Amino acid sequence: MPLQSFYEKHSVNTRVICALIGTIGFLGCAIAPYFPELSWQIAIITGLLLIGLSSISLSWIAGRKDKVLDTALVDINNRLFPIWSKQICEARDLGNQSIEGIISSFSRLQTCIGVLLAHSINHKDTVEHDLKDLTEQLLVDLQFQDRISQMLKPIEEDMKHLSETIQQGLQRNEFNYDVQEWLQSLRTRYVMEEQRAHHDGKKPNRSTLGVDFFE
Amino acid sequence: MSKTIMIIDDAPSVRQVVSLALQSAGYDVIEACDGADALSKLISIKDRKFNLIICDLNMPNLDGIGFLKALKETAKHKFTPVIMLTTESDEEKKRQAREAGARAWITKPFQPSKMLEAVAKICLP
Repeated sequence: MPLQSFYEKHSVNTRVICALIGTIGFLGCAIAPYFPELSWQIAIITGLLLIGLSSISLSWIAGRKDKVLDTALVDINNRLFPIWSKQICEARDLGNQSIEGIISSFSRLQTCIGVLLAHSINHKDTVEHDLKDLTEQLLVDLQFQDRISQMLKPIEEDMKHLSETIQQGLQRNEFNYDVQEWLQSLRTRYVMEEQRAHHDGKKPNRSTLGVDFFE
Repeated sequence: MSKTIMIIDDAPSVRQVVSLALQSAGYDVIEACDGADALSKLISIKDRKFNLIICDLNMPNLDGIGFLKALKETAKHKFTPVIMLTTESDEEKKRQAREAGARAWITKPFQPSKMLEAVAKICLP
């Protein structure tokens, strides 16, 4: 309905306009009995009254939809966004820590090479051992990019889901969502224990894990 | 002749890290970006014997479990041992991998030395 869609698009302004038209209508009705000779003016006022009443009801529908949307967004904002935010912050911190680790390892590597060059063969075993440790740590730190991708993937999916939910809600004039269900679904899409720990508000264990042999 | 290991992972950085660790230990490495790419390479590379496959779990096109199942149906590679290398720590996924024929499970981030120990233990002669 064009009029309704107009009201939906401009619901705030139309509510004010509708209230004004409605008020004029009511005033017209109130004063009409005192001026019986002005029949055509009464007809116009009655028309305005009807327009006003229909406008108010449409405006009320649009306002109610806004309230449903407001409630949905407040709920999502209070419960879902903090989880997203936590996961994104942890991913960022992980990136920072890994970069610090890599820089520190390179710095130690530089020292080792310096020692190797200065003392030549005398400290060969020590330097070789240090270099092996450094390489091992570097290879662990360099795996951060994959872990960050895994952390951000479910959040990216959720953002798309939220966008679709809002669009569908606006089209259907109702919001079929359950934040608790949403949070459970989000939790099932995690692949790392630390993601689940962050979600549950627990402290994760970030140590590297061992090998499980299946025989 | 050095042993050949295939590493399958959709993250290039992981493939590079694993390749670096394996090459430093003297292994030849063939990389694949997902299960489908790996199957295609296993079929097309005929002049090599693959002594071991290291495979990620969550990948596009064909995931780790799907790849394992497909691998076990090939005549040439059904006995090639597979190690799962993944960020996934879900016990159910681990059980699925075990049932599909994986020989070991390494959770990322991994220590290269521990991975090399597992490789040495499982790799075919």
